[in-house]
Amino acid sequence: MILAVVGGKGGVGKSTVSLNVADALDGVVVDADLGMADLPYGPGPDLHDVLADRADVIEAVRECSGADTGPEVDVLPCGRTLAGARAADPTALVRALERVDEHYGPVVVDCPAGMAADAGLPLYAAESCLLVTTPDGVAVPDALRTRALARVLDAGVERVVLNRARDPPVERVERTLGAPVTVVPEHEAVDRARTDGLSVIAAAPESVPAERFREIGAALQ
Amino acid sequence: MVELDCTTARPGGVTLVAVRLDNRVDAPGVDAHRIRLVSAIDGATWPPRVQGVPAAPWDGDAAEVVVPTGRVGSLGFASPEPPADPPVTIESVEPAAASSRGDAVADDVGDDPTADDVLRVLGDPSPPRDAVAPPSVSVESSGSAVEAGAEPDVISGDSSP
Repeated sequence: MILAVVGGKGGVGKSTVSLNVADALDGVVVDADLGMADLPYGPGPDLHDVLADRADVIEAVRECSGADTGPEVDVLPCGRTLAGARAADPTALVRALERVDEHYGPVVVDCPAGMAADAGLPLYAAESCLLVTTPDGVAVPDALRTRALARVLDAGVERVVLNRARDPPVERVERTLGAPVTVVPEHEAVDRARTDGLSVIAAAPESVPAERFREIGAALQ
Repeated sequence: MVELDCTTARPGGVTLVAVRLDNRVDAPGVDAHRIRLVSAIDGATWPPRVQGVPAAPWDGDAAEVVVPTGRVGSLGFASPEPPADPPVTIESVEPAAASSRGDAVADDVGDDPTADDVLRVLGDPSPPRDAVAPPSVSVESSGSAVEAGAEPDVISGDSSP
């Protein structure tokens, strides 16, 4: 299964959702934000190298060790340089994601903001997507535009993740975006886990956000 | 029938071909036709490119253009080889739906898109060339090597080579 995590607007929590849903699915999270990557990174080949045909995609996946330190989720990180982003062939992402899916199982793709091809190509490769938004009046219209793109590219919207919601307008968002909504409340455990480069499922398994991410994972399986 | 009106020019050793397609097919009830043309030039076909990939109608040395019945369509391409006469031939003419899906992206991407279609329609996300630092040049300065134009390593915050 290839699942794209999209949203349109930046800063709504796509990377946090991607990392945690990948953990819940016991899958691989792919940082497909070629220009502004932010998932945990470490030494070794990355997605820029894969898309420039300098490395094999399977070699670029950082497998979680099961030890107490290091990532709790298998991660395909992305390089951080503009030169790497420019050298990358964005269309090669499609085959790379298919290969990770064949080799590892569920693939969760952290997509960039916007509506350019780097957001469209993961949707093209994916069977379905999660639409991430915050409840504000800027993010929801962007999510609506992204939903239209997902429809064109045949990636069904599995679920809307209403992130950092205090008093969530669940019915209104459900009506607007036409998919079931899962609310992930603002929580200090999420910030703490992100600072430590961990999923909140690993860092604070009893927290409400961790419980919600596990619910999303169960709904996807 | 479909009438072709082709013009060719060869400035600077490159053949430029312009094709005008006049759809005069007498087919009552058919709104438009999908016309498939093939380059007759013996050699490489250089289609126009959008976002670095061949424009939508092109597939190798052939292109498909949907022209409403009674209307005129157009097509152009280039080749490094000398022109042929005529420079294109019609391979097929089939009825096609002229109606759109009411969505510009959906219309442009088409029913069965490729990754190249997605890139062409949505736009290449690569940073512009001018945003990328030129290749590194090692410069000895105050006893330490400094890479001119090197991008900082934002992970470790260490910009030394």
